[in-house]
Amino acid sequence: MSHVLDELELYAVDALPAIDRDRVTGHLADCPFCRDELSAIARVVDALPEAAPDRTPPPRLRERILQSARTSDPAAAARSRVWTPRRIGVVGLAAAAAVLAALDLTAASQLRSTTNELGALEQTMVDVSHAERSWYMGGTGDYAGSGGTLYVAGRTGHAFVLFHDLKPIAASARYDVWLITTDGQRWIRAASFAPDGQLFQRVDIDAQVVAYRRCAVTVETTAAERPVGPVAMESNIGPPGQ
Amino acid sequence: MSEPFDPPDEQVIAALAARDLNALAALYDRYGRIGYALAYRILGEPEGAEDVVHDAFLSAWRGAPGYRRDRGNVRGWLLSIVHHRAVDILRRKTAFRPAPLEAAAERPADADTAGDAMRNLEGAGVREALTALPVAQRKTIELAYFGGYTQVELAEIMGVPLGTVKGRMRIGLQKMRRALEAGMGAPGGGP
Repeated sequence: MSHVLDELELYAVDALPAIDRDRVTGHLADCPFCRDELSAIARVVDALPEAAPDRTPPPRLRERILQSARTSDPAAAARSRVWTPRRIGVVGLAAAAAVLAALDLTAASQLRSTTNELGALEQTMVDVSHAERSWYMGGTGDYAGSGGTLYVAGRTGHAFVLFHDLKPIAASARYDVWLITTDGQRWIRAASFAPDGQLFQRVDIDAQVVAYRRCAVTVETTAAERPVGPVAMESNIGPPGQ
Repeated sequence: MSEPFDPPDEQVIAALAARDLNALAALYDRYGRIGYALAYRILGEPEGAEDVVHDAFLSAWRGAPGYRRDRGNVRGWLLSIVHHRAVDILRRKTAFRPAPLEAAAERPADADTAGDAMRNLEGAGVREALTALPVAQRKTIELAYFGGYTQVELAEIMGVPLGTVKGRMRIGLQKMRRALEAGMGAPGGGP
């Protein structure tokens, strides 16, 4: 195995072109030696922000962030409590319980499928971290509380939606993901799926998202060319630079 | 009355993954200011810096379940999101690059509280380690990290081969590492 030691510093400061960055990322996945070296470099790079002159963020920024999070996940406000040491313990358990629930861990005999799902979950998180663009779709009307984030990888254009808290629908119905052109004339069904009842559900998109300006999710009972069912969530998806 | 509680970063992230808005507020209270300073340093203007920090914290809110401690501490993870987004925006503005660190430093830092003074004290150690480097190494690090220049661009604007850029980066960061380890040490996570 050929190491990538002479590229790790530039990798750590995000100064490698995409093709080299991906190559180094791939190497790091299999090379503990280079990973250890990168960790040492990263400790120095992590200190560099301290060299930036101090700036006071505008007071409104804190509430703006919290409001955006609240809007993207209305159920979160209800879940939030004043923190105490005990509360944190409960939160930790809640997080673990959420993961276990998402994995549908019901018996030891499911260990193999659980391992596979862990791998899939981890892959999704890796894909999320590598995505260059994202748009959040909040559930509306009867679908409030659910939502999904459309992620697009910059280099490949590969896209997927990571849904959360999807509402159950009739057995004969499907969630359809639509991509819509600027003029609203062209609707492309990019995915069709049934909710699996898990906390999070990934749905891959079979289209080049950058060619469209809106994304919507509807509930359909037919495979018509245009949606006829209710809109569960939607969002504008701006062109690059917006 | 509940006692004051200041949990470690990893517990904050666990709460974030459980969709607790108070955890998001706590994370912002810890790293919002330095995240904003970093974004401001890279972009050179307040509105863009605010948007970057907003997007970065929302990204952390959504991506908390995917956080892995073995890939770095929470502070580094969050600031790397800020850095990546700010540099991404900068690279799209092909006609503009920020001033070198000397020019940025000439703009006075904001007046602050005792807590912020502590951060300035910690930052002084990093700035000291950076300014102690030979000019070529320091400029290479600054232009790459704060200027968003790629290795090829660095070679072009500095008029040196690619191998020299890599060498300056490597030696410069190694020297900083030794200086920080000998002094205050690189910043870790939260309390």
